[in-house]
Amino acid sequence: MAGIVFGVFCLVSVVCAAVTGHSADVGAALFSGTEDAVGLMLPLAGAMCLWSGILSVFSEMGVTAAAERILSPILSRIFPACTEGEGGLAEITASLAANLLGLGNAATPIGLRAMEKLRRSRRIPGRMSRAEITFVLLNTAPPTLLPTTLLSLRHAAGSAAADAVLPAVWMVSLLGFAFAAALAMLWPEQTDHRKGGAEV
Amino acid sequence: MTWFLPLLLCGLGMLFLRHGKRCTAAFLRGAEEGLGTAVRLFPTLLLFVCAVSLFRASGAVALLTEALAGICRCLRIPTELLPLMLTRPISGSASTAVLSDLFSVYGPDSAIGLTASVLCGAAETVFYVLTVYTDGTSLSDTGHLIPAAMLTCLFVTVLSVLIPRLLFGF
Repeated sequence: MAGIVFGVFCLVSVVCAAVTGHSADVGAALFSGTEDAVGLMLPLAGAMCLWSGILSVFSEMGVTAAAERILSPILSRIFPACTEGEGGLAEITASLAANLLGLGNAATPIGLRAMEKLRRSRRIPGRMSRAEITFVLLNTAPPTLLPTTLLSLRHAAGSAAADAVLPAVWMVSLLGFAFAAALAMLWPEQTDHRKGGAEV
Repeated sequence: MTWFLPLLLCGLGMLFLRHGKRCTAAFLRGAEEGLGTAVRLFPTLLLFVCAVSLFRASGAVALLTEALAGICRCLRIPTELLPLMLTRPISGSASTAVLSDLFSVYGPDSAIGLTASVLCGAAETVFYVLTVYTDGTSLSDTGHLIPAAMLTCLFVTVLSVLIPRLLFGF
């Protein structure tokens, strides 16, 4: 997946750079990109350690199990494959909660932990299960209650009413989330032709 | 939401006081797993960030803006928003830079400033999420994820333009 993105962006960038005369900048951008990656990685690694540790404490103490029991009637409908045992419902619950509460730097680490648990629901090795696809799809359109970066940017730009955009942000992100959930649930089952017609 | 984190920390502190040894062991185990995930993720992240960096430096956004300007005029979408609509799905920091630019040129409370705010606040960096979350899975094994994600991205982008128009009446 990352390989395809890289391949497409590389070719598009080189062609566009040749057209617009930015060829020299592209070379420099490749190396500044590695620095950016490290700059993005270090805070993420810290957040991953912290939130994975906190989640682990909560699951050791049975806190996540309690949250799971409350939410499982809804979630097990969206993720039917994850109801039994260590299926990842706890992580899914925590990741959705982190998104809703605006803890952006917690949502990605917890989401990635959920993906590792969800990997077990794969029926064909290597191929993403429906539960995994649903979870990633929901994460491409998470509901946003408090876009903190946006609000501070609007303040800094001298907005008379920085939070005037909140109702619009809520409507758009909730409708987007509903749209993603509907797509995930309604998308027809596909047949995998490579493995003798097993359901995915 | 400011009450949530203190509440969580209180709960965590009480758990640590009551079951110190078990909690510490569990935390260290979880944190180690988290570090492992982060380390495994880094090569993918590097590839993605380099790709975005190339894309930004190449002037591709300006070219695509020109190419798509006609469609935008048909839909009465201000073409000034196109660079933001193109960068928002790929990079959080890049789209924040574009948003600041729009704020300083048009003002945060103008029609363009408001629409841009909704675009940045409500739309997720779809390509980043897809790359990071599907790490290690080849494209042909992602099933209906990519088409569904692209549809969702398009849906959210269109709504980000339409809903402010309805709510603020411009």
